[in-house]
Amino acid sequence: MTENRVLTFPPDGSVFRALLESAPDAMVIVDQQGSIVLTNSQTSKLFGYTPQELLGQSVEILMPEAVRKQHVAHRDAYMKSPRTRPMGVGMELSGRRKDGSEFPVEISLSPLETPNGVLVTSAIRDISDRKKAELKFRALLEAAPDAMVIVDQFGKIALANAQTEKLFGYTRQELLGQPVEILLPEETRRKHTAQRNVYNRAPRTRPIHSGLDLVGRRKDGSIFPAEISLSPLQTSEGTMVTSAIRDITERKQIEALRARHAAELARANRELADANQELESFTYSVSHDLRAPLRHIDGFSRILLDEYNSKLDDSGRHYLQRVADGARQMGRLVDDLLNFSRLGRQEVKRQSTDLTAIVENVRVDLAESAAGRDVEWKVASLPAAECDPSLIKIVFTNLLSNALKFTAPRPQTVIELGCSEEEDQPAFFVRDNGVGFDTKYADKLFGVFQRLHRQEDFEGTGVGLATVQRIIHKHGGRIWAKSAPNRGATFYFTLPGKSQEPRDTGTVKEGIA
Amino acid sequence: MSDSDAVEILLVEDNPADVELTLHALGQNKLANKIQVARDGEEALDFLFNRGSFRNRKSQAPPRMVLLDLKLPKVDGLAVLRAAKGDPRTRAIPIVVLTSSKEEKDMVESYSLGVNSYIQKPVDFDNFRQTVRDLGLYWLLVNVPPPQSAFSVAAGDPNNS
Repeated sequence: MTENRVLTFPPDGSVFRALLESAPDAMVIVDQQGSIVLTNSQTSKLFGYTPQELLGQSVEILMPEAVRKQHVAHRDAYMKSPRTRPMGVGMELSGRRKDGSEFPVEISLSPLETPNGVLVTSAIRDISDRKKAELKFRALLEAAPDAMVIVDQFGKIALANAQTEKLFGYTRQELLGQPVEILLPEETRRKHTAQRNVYNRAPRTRPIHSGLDLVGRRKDGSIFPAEISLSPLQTSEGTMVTSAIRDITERKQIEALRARHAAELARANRELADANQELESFTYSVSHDLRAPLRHIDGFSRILLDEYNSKLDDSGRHYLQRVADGARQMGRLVDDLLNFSRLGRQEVKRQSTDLTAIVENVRVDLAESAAGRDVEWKVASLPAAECDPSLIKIVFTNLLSNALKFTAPRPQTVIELGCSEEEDQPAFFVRDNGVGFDTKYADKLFGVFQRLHRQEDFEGTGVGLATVQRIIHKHGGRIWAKSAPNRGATFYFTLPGKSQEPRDTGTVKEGIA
Repeated sequence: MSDSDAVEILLVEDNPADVELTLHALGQNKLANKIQVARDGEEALDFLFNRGSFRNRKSQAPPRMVLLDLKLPKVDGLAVLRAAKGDPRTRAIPIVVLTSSKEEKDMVESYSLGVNSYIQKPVDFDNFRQTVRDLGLYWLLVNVPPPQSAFSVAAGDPNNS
């Protein structure tokens, strides 16, 4: 029957040749003695021999000299029971070109029955590219910063990189073929085996940092916290699992340190909150309890002055007046101090604020204290600012009332208000032509209860500018002053943040309409 | 004149000096005739609700006004305010908080409890005297007091069901 079919081909074997030529691999047909009887053009291309040069040659001509002898024995054994052997089944071989160069090949064999006896067809494939890719893969593996371990479907270590040796203290030889559990502490091995089986049923990529924290065990038995990522790797030998293992001892230490710091911070915050609470109740009782005796001192000395006036001589009345004045002054101090401390606790609520309008309000409030005086106000249009309007009103109230206070001895008072460029940032200023101060005391200017003038010259508690400074600082701004004795004073402050252009007149008109 | 011994002002104040000064200021304005002083919150509530040592007081008419300090022994001023404004029998009594405190939380709470007026005691006695005088004149002479029917449950208490 076979003959019938063979007979249908032209007897010159042209069909067979055409088939041979169409194969993608180098095809070499060898007789039982190992002599080459036929090759295709792929063979010539791959090995550099012409067909004539190969014809009749022992097939070992295509192999490195080192394996030729051994191959003869293999070949003889094969010929005794020839069978088909597909590509890539445990046959890592090398080919040798005419020029002596060698290259990795993969070979499949199949017996071919012919009238002249059994021949052997071998298909030879150049796998240099694949080998290169493999080398690249290994190089990549070696270059990885983490220990990389490839495990086969049976949980045996198939590949490990240099980092693995370094991390675990095993040589690669010691690891290859071992169950991957060798890298785990004994008490977790059994559980891991079970987990591995679960994973193998549905392998998926699990990146590092996905909460897969484990403990690794070195060859010397010491353990360390590790972070592991897993990804399935499809190979001709089945699904393997690549795992990257990272020693996170240092990170764990940093985390512990951070947690300790956070705990310390939380404790400090609690203490601060407690201290604030205490301060709160302190100021509350100051506000309530300290004011009461002051009221009593003032009240009873006032009653004495009113109702027992005739029974007192001038000195008696004078001293009693001093008692009452002292009580009132202390009352003001307590009030100012309370306002100042309240300010420290107050939150800054920023909003776009029309400063010109605030200044106008303050001027109305202060009109009474300026009554009967010749005061010239030079108020420029101020840009809107991002600030807390109620706090900024306190700033302007203090600065303007100071300006009024320290210009009181002047026959004509000039108070100027505007915005200028100071040290590359817009600064608001309040300028007066008052008594000024000596700048060598400027550092005392903004201190609580610090005063640069005698009480009998200018009344005050020394809290106003401290309050102003606190508000400006709370806004992230700066405040400073320029002055000289009897040459007036200028106070500057900045309000960082989105500062806008002054409103154009159109907007103002609209507001009026 | 059946109410001739009725109390016009209930002064709730623990500090004897403050009591004396307040009475002095009221007296100067001829307003000190019918004043009851309560020295703590409990005594104030006993008086307002005619209980305790005030169980048998002759006239059980409510005072025309209450001057209430906030910082008090036993029951503090805010608690007195809460109790008085939370009860239909006493809700209509005008209560003026007269305190040293100008703490925002005290003011917020007093107003939310329904205080009729909130005054911070001025340190300056002249101001204090003027303030007490104004208070007395306003609440005892200018203000029209709540009618008798305002002090009963029958007056229709929306919260009393």
